[in-house]
Amino acid sequence: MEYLTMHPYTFFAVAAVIAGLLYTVKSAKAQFALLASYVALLGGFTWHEFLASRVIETPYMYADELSVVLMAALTVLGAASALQGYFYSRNGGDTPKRIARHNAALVAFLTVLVGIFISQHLGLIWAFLEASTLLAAILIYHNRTRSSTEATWKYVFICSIGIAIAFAGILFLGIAYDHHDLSLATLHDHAHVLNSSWVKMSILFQLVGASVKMGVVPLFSADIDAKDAAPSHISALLSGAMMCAGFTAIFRVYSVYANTELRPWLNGLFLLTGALSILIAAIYILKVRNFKRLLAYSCCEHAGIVLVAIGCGAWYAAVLHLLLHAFAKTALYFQYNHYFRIFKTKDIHAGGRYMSIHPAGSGVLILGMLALCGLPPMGTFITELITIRTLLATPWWGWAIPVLFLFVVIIWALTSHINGVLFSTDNGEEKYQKHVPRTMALETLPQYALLGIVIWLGFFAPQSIVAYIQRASVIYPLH
Amino acid sequence: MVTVFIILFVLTLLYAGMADRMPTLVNLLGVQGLLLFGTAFFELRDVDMMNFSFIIVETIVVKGILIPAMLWRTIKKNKITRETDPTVTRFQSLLAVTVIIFLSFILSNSIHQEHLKVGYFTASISAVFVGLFIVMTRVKIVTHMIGYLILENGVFLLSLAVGNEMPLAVNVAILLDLLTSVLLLAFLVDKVGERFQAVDVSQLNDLND
Repeated sequence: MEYLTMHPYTFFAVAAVIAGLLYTVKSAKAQFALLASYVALLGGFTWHEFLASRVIETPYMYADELSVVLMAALTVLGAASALQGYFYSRNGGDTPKRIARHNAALVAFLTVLVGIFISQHLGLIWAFLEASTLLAAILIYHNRTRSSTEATWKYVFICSIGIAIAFAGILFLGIAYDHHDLSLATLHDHAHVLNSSWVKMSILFQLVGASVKMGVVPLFSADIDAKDAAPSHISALLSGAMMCAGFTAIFRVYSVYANTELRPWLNGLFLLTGALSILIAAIYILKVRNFKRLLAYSCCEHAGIVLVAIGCGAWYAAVLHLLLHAFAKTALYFQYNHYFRIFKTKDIHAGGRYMSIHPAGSGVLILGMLALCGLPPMGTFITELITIRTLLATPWWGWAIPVLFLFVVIIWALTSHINGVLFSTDNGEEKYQKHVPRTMALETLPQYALLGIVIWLGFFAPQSIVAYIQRASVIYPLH
Repeated sequence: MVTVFIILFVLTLLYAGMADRMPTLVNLLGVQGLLLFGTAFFELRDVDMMNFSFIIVETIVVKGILIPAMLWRTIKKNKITRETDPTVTRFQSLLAVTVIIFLSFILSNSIHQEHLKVGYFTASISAVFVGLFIVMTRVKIVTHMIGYLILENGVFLLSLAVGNEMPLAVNVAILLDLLTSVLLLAFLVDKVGERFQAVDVSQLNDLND
């Protein structure tokens, strides 16, 4: 198996070379080949880490099952986004220089996310989170419009503030115990002897900092604006891959302390943050008219569901829901791109007759809507069911009532919006039908593939994969 | 000697609370960088040479010289001379900063931890909250940046207060992140100025529900 060996540093070095080449070599074929080679590298590294899981290759960077699951998802999402980016640039008429800059930043961004997934030191996770902000900013700014400038400023500024607060939270752990080592393994070893007040303060600060990455309260607003102003494939990455990164930062800390006397407090905190995020999402989903913001607020809801799942102890459902949401939302953001190309507006009420104008795209919208609503045959039905059943079996079962009520509100609002797009005869005049090129139907294939994964992972995944994801969601069994 | 630096650092916070001229605020950041250098120089003599040199470069070169120089360039390019129409008056601002420092002092003295340095902790917590206060009450985006950098200085001081030792690679990554984020924010201030013909936060309202 020696030939499979790929040290994390080797991965980062090769990824840096590819990003550098993408920035300097501007021919379209070279760009495509370099992106394909990066996806192969990412896939290869994921496979290597799967085989070498829990082997301590570097002091603070080595993969466990959670890292491998998230890296596998990132490989799929990264490949899909790179492909969609190719279509986006071709249709948008970007200059080779701008495409080169975008692709180099995309590769660097994905690499930094891998760094977050495999880091086993709080300081390192923090450094990678901050780097992901800076690289995401380049991607959000891609179109250089007023709105992308505004969104980028808000994103960088609020993320920087949030991450500085998170760093202060990490430093509070230095007050909580006498050791100066902030690696997860050391923190786990000393979790029971820490000063609980300072640990609580630390977790609170870290949750605030990571909230902007995961898209939950309190700092979700910059994330919504970024997803609105960025190109749709970047919005998809912010919704899927970046949410996974925020989740990792939060879940790593949770898993260190979940086996201590802090567990009830932690669960309460996560339930409260999750429920508030679902509430905020429900309010905005009811009134929003902008298609991309609708999808962005839906992310806030699903991130809230993930936190509720963590809070009630349904960790398997939390990890699986995170993955399923990432795939479904990516497909929907890609489909939004078709909607915009047809109707030339983000206004969801300006669309109509989508079923007759773009039947292939309508299928994506219907399946995507079912996934966001957590309805069969989509896998999110299973994860939401497990979450609610687990919640009902805990002392916090009363939380299930408002959460279920908000689910109903969101299902009603989402179906109203999407049904309007699909079937409304008020808009969507005949002229639009002529503007749908045949290639658009072909472009929906990756979207159906992503939605297929959502169905397959939820209902038909083999026992070995289910067991692996269950191991990924077990709280902190590093040793 | 370190106590003198800490007291001077707290005084710069009071001054930042009152100041509305941009050059004054930028100079205050430079002074804070130098004070952090002095504090680290006298405090961290027992750490290894590599880490010590790194922290010295971080404070004097980055926080004391590079970042203020970048901000000078930004305010000159965008012709920003002073903070206009803040949401609180100078007196109210000074009062609020004084209250923040006082409460931080009370909090620091209520913590009974052997290895916690109370003076550092007071100054660092004060800087974090004064930074946030400046971000919340000022309207120019450059002032927001300055508020963020004051907050960052507070976090740096906090790391001295609690004595956490990060691996050198992590320290380098943190410094690079800080430097790049300031560069990026300065670049974005220029772009906001070009596209919105203003550098007020109130103008940034294209994106809404």
